[in-house]
Amino acid sequence: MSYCVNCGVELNSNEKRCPLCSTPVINPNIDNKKIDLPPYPPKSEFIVERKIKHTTALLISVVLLVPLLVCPLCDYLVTGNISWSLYAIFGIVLGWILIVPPIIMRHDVIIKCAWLDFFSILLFLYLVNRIAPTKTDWFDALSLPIVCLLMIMLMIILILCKVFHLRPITIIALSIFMLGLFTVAIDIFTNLFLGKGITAYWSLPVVIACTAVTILLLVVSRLAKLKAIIRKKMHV
Amino acid sequence: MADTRKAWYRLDNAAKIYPAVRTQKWSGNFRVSVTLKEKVDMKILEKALADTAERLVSLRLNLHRGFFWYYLEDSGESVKATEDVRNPCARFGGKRNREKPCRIRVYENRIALEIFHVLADGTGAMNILKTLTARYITLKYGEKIPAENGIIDITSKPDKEEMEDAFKRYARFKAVKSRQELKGYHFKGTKLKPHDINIVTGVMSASHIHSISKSYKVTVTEFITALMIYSFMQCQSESKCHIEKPVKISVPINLRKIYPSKTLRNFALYINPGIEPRYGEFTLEEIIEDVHHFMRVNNKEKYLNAIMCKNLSDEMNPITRIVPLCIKNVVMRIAFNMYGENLVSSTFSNLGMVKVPDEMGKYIDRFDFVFGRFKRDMPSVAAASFGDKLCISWSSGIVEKDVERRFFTELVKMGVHVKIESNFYPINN
Repeated sequence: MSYCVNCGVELNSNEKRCPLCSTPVINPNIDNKKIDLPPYPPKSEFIVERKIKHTTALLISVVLLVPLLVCPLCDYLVTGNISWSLYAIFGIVLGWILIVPPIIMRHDVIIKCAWLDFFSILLFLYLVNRIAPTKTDWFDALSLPIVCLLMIMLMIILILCKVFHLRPITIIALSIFMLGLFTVAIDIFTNLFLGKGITAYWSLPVVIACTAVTILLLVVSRLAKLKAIIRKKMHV
Repeated sequence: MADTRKAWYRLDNAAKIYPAVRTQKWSGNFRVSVTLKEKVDMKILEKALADTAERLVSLRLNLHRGFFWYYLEDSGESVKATEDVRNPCARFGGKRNREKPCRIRVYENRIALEIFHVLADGTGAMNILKTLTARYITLKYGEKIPAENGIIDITSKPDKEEMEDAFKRYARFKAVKSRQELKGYHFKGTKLKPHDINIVTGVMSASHIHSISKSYKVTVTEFITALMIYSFMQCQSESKCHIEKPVKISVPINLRKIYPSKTLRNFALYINPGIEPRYGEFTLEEIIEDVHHFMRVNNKEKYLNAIMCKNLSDEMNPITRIVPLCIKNVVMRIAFNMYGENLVSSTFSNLGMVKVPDEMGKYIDRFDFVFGRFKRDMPSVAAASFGDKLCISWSSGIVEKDVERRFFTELVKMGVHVKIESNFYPINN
């Protein structure tokens, strides 16, 4: 007869750990020949799941496959070569990457999909830049830094959420602040691309408003008294 | 016999929600089991099962999908006994619902009946199990067991009342009661894999628990419910919850004790006693008092009839009836998410003292009642007692056993000797 030293409950003699608190059971007097049968057999039963997720993914793939084949065919029949349909092909492939993997992936979906989408969007923009009739190289100057910055900001938010277990209100505050910074970055990159130097114009009111909202949310989240006053004055 | 074998049955009012809210990984199941004093003879059990299924149509039914509602149909074939598993109460309903909504599992001295809630409630399932066990004991030991205490005479003709929807028979439709309630607290933790379940059973002296309950001037159900609320409340106050939610336990009320029904199907309604932690810290004594008064007020025929009428009025609404099943399923899922497990922290079902004739009782060690995993994976409790053995089984889809530990250690602190059994092997610990 064994007891858990932590919980005080009697345990089946076959138990090596307390089922309630996992404290190891050490009983030198236990007779190995008289060990009770376990209350349940060791064999487990597994459910055969219908793969609804995979069916949905397959359905979406088939639906996207139709324009993927029809567009180049129409393009070739009308113009005699493949020109405008390349945009449609790249767009459909990007759409498939954005929609299908989140459906079929199982673990760490947000992180995996974020990286996959990041590289896919970069590749899409690069290819569009290459086939575009204009000779301006907007990919290196504009698309690449903006998409990279967006990815960095997303990773910062995800890492902070994971490490500090942020509350929803703090995540919202952080996201709004990041959005403000992102608009400034877009403003600067656009001005650099247009040859106006490192300057920011329209994004300044945005970043100020975002910062104010962020501070307000952080203050509200921390001050219980203020929260109570707001609730009293603003109740509906 | 030919007519009986082609019979089909509408789902009862309480059963209608279960096939609709079932998912790829979950269905609302539970199991009742009997542990005999000797090892179960599989061949004799199969014979007993065949004999019992001849009389009890519940053991021959299959669940089918109609255009407007699901229904049960007599397949003519009895459910088969199979070996028990470590993770019981797995989802019912493979192969487009052609699977039987019940299973018989055998392990050493134990015969278990697992049931999908479309077929029966705890009391109905216990009566089916008692009838099967009585037939097994008769075949094995030659004992003549009288048809009493829920045991059905398998030589008698089937009674229509056994398969009736008793809700429809007893609802008066004079008043309906709203379902509006605040959302309850849910214990959160690491989820187990979909097919898995954590079962922790505490075996203790029924008379000791009864005497403790008596010292508080409450019933055993009220005492255990209060202790569950106390355990959940402590877990909530220690968690990083910023807004504390009400801790409520859903307690099924067996309506057979109020209405003289012989039905083997669902005939229970739920009431949700609980506390509001935002009012302040509650002691166990205060919770026991609250639960006791709540149960006294709400466990009355008139209130229960009003709840019954609300459930039935939704089902019998002409618009509801003509809507195709696929649309109904979506609506029922939304309603289940709003008013089902969302409102309560857990469920406690007490089958009470299981009574069997003396001729049968001498071969039986104990009865168990275990819930399957809940849709929200919350820890829930089912209890049954036989003789002086009270078995309280916690089932959960969460790895952490904080609530279970608090519950049992509180009992230990009160001087109750608790023996713990679980379905987890050292490799899984």
